[in-house]
Amino acid sequence: MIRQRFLNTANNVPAPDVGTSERTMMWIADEYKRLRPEDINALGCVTGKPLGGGGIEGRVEATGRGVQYAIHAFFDTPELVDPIFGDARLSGKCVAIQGFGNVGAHAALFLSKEDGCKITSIIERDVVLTNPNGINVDDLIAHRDAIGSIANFAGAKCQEPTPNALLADCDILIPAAVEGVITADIARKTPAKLIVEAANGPCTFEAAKILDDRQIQVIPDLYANAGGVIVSYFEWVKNLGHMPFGLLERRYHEKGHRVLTSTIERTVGASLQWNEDASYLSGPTELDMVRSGLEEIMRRTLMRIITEQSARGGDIRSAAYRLAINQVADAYRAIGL
Amino acid sequence: MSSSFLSDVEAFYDLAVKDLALPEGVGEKIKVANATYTTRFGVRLRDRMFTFTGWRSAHSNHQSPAKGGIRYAPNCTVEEVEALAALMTYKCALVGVPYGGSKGALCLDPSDWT
Repeated sequence: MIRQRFLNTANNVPAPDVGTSERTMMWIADEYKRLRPEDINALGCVTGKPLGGGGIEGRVEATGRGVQYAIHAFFDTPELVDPIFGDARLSGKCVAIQGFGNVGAHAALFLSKEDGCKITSIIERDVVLTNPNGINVDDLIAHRDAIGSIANFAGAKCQEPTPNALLADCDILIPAAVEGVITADIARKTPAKLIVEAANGPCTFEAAKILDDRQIQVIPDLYANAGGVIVSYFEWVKNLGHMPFGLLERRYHEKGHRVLTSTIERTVGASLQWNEDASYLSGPTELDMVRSGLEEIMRRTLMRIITEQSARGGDIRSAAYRLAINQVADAYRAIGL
Repeated sequence: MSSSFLSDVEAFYDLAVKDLALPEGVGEKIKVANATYTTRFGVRLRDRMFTFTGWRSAHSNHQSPAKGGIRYAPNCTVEEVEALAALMTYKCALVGVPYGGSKGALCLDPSDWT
């Protein structure tokens, strides 16, 4: 593909997906550099590379992190959350996740550890885990890393998967595996009030109509799982810039923050009482900047989707598609087509 | 199931595009994949030749580069790859990342080869 000019930094840039990883991306980058030694931007021919190979902090967690930010943005939007949940608190909500790969595991980890959600079901090809009190995701990741599967995990009830496993009792259902799993039949019966499409295409077209009729909200794939490509964008820009984010300004900001706090302390004649947010005194690390940029895009995008939805109606997915199509059409319009 | 994934993505697209006042023909142009490249290559492994099939679809090049993952899965099809590439175009456009959409797949089960 490199020889056919179908894969290079300017024209076509791959990233990891189902069945591929950081290491696969590094093999591609390595081969590309061998074939194009004169290309100073060779590292940008692929994203999702390991940190030591030109990758960026926060890329592995990016899609799962983006799913979390999409859910935060949803819960901070009263017109979306009020009609389906009696209270707009994410903490305590029961979550069922299908797929415990990179995306599912990170989403489960962040939602349970940082947001107080209970991961009550994890549905995999070979096993279904349930625990009404919430699965300890750290323990489950350690178990998976040790034996290569989430089966036989002591912290949950383990059962054989059945076609109805996706109908697990939950508030939020997160399909994070493959396409086509939320069929019309699942859509008619799911007890979930909110479905977050961490995978691409999990709801069929027919299922999406049924969910809309049942007033079950769906955060659609093109928004919910965009975190991966967003952080890939940051990585690619870092590769083209040949410099990590934050290198130039981190110390400058840190000094500024310290001058500001010591001035306030001298002026009021008391020392400031800091809590855990004292980390904000330091300038941002690359990871801070990646997460901040990702959150900004996820929050800004949901606001644009809601504005579009209230203007022309339809479900969240239709509004998102209209924004996307218009954006592409604008590019054609700009060159006079 | 995979070919219906492409028709589902197109159905979502059709549902949305009918509410937009695009110039005639533009909606159809944005919907289709620009190019899909098929590769079949042989690798000598375990004392015999194995042939692998893969695709890379560039759905849109309205921005460069076209961006999207490569998946390794035993049951992937060209329709699935084109559906995923289209989704990448819409995803990047929606969130304002300046890329076209692309996707690739290689038909193999990674656990068979490691």
